[in-house]
Parts: sequence; C-alpha cells; structure tokens
Amino acid sequence: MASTHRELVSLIEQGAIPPDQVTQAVRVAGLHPSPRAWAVFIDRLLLWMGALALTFAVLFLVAYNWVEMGRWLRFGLVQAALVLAVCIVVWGNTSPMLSRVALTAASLLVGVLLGLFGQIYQTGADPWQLFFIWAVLTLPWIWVARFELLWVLWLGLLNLAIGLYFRTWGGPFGVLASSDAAQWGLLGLNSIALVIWECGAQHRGWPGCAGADDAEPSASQLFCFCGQPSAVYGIGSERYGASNERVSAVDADAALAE
Amino acid sequence: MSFTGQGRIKDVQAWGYGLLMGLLVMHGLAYSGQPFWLWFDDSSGSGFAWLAPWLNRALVAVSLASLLSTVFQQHLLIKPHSTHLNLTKVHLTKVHWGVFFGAAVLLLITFYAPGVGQGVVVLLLGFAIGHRLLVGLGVLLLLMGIGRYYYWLDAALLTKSLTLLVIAGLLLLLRWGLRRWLDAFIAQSRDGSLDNDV
Repeated sequence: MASTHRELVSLIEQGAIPPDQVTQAVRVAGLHPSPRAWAVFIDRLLLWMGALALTFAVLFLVAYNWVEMGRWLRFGLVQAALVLAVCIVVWGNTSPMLSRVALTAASLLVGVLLGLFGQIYQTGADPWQLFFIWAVLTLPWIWVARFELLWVLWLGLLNLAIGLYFRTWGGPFGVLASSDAAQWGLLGLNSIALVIWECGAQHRGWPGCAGADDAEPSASQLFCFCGQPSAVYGIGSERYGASNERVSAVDADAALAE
Repeated sequence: MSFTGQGRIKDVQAWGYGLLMGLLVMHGLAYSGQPFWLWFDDSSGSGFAWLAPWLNRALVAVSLASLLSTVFQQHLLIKPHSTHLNLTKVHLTKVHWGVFFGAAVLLLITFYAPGVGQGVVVLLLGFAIGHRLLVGLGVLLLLMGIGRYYYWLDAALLTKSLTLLVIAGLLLLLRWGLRRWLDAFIAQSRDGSLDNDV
C-alpha cells in the first residue's frame, strides 16, 4: 500500500493529475481503507493490545518481586497464563490471527517464567543463557505459528544472547576484543538467517522477492533493525545495513502476502 | 490527507516526518535519562511542569478526535461507491458515536501511559493514509509507551500490573462489544472470522 501512496505522490508532484482531480484520484487508487477494512483493523488492534497488556501485567507482577506472594503461587500464576495461551491455540477458535496472538503471548510468557526462575532461585545464570534458553524453548511454537513477526522477535532474542555472551566472556577466539567479537557474532548470525531465508524464498516458496524493491519499512523491519545493533555500530556496517534492508523487505513482503 | 495540493505534498510530508522524529527522540531521551534542552523537572513546581502532562493528554485527544472526524468525512464522501457496506445515515451516526466512545475509553484507561495514546494515533494515521512506515513507527511508539510506563516511578509495579490487567480486560471487552455490534454491519467470512479480509 505504501508503493501506491508513493506513486500517487509522484504523479501529483509531476503534475500528471490535475489539482482538481486529486481527491478523485485518491479515491480511485483505493488508498484509503474501506469501512470494513477499518473494522478488521480495529478488531485486530484491540486484540493485540488486550493480549499484550495481559502479558505485560504478568511480567510487571513478576518484576515486582512480591515477597508476600509465595513462590509456588507466582510460578502457578505465570504457568496458568502460559497454559491458557496454549489452550487458546490448541482448542480455541480456528482464527489464524487469534492463534498467532496467543502464541506470541505464550512465547513472551516463557521468558517471564525463566526470569521468575532466575529471580526465585538466584541461579546466577548470566543473561545470555536466559535469552538463549528462551529462544530454544520457543522455537517449536514459532515454527508452527508461521508468523514473520515472531521469527523476527526470535532472531532478536538470539541476537541478544550472542551479544551478551561475547560481552561477558570475551568470545571463543580469545584474542579478539569482546565488543568486536560480539559484532562479528551478530554479523554471522544475521547473515546465516538471511541466507536461510533467501534459500527458502528461492526453493521452498517462502514469502519472498516479488516486490522486494519496495524499500518502505514496516513494523517487522523496525523490529529487525532494533535487534541488530551492529548495523549501527560496527564492522562492515555498510554491507551489513544493505543485508538488513533486504531481510526486512522480505519480511514486509511476507506481511503483505498475508 | 497528505494530498493537500500540488507542490505542497513534500512540505507536508517533511513536517510530518520531522514532528514524528521529534516525538521519538523525546521518548528516547526520556528513556536514557539525558537532559533535554526543553526538559523540566516534574518536581520543579513551575506552571509549565504542572501543565505539560495535561497538555500532552489534551493534544493526543484532540489529534485522535480530528483524525477520526477526517476519516468519517472520507467515508461519507466515498459512500456512493462503497460496495462493502450498506450503511444508512442513521447507522453511520451510531458508528460515529460508538467509535468516539471507544476512543474516549482508550484514552481514559491509558491516562497514566500517554505514550500508548500517541502510538495509537500514529498507528491509526498510518493505516488511514495507507502508509506502512507510519504504522511501524506507531507500533514502536506503543512499545516505547509501555516501556516508559514500566519505568514510571510514581507507582509500584504491583499497581501498574493491576492497572494493566484492568486495561487488558477493558480492551478485550471493547473488542467483544465491537464484534457483537458490527455483526449487524459486516458480512462475516465463511469461517466466522474477519481474518481473510485484509
């Protein structure tokens, strides 16, 4: 839809559309959503915001570290929320959007549960382990959800895990400075992700290249960009930034292909 | 909305992007705890410090109301060509009031997290003009709004958690009401969901 917007702006700027016919052109281009599209959008927005608010409510409660609330009760609460989200996916209404929202909430709640475990047992686990285990545990759900936003979040978790790992330990290569090692790690991980995605798009029919020249970013792209700090800070940033944009354009296409 | 006339489109877009970037930078600065040249201390007790939070919420409310009014005007304009809905004038008025009521509820329940209101305005604006970048930035603002709410120091996390629980309940109740109410206007898709339509 952004490309239609841009084409229309370009046509108006070039004077191809007379000023008195701009309103009609906008209408014919179908740029503005129909009342039905609005209803669907508001419906989804309320569903997403409600579900995320519920998940964040659980997260805030755990972060409060309420000593009067017994540890079993805290575990029970988070696990009950987790089971509820999974039950919605398994036995709930067959709406794909509802399943995706529930799986997103469930994936976030796994992280809350791991955080609670670390908080109660003082396991001394370094943060990278938390994010890595979180990514490993949620992989099956993300696999079945077939939802590109969740894949981007998952990649973000792995980015965090790798970044924190190298920052903590200085990296397996020893002589490399820790921050450089972290950036090489991130570059490697995201390059592998890009290659896998491109292969999938070429050979397995994953959402792919049609319209990849549309460089207008989307929410997925923003998440993708946020999860990859080395695009901003580091080594090979120009090349890396280009790859990042490519991944993101594919994500945007996946969103459009929905 | 952004097609206000030949030769001015780029200007309007530049202003829009500039203002939005300003908003994002202010959120970012508030996160990092860096001083801002227009920044003031909430506890300074000056008139502006007292006024600013109210001004913030009032501006969000005004922009949301004006966005909704513009969208309604557009739909009155395209009504003769619309094949999706057969709205009569009476129904549309009901829709107007319903949506304004929903927006007012949303603003009230997110009173202490004004970033959420700002995010929703940007998100809706992006959807209204078919601009994906704005939709993405709206989502980002929403998440930043929730993040700032987490770090807001005037309430305990327990209070904030319970408030979020109430907000979640009300949002899902609004959605439930919307679906029941819009059944009268929208033909459902085969599986009873709205998912196949966008």
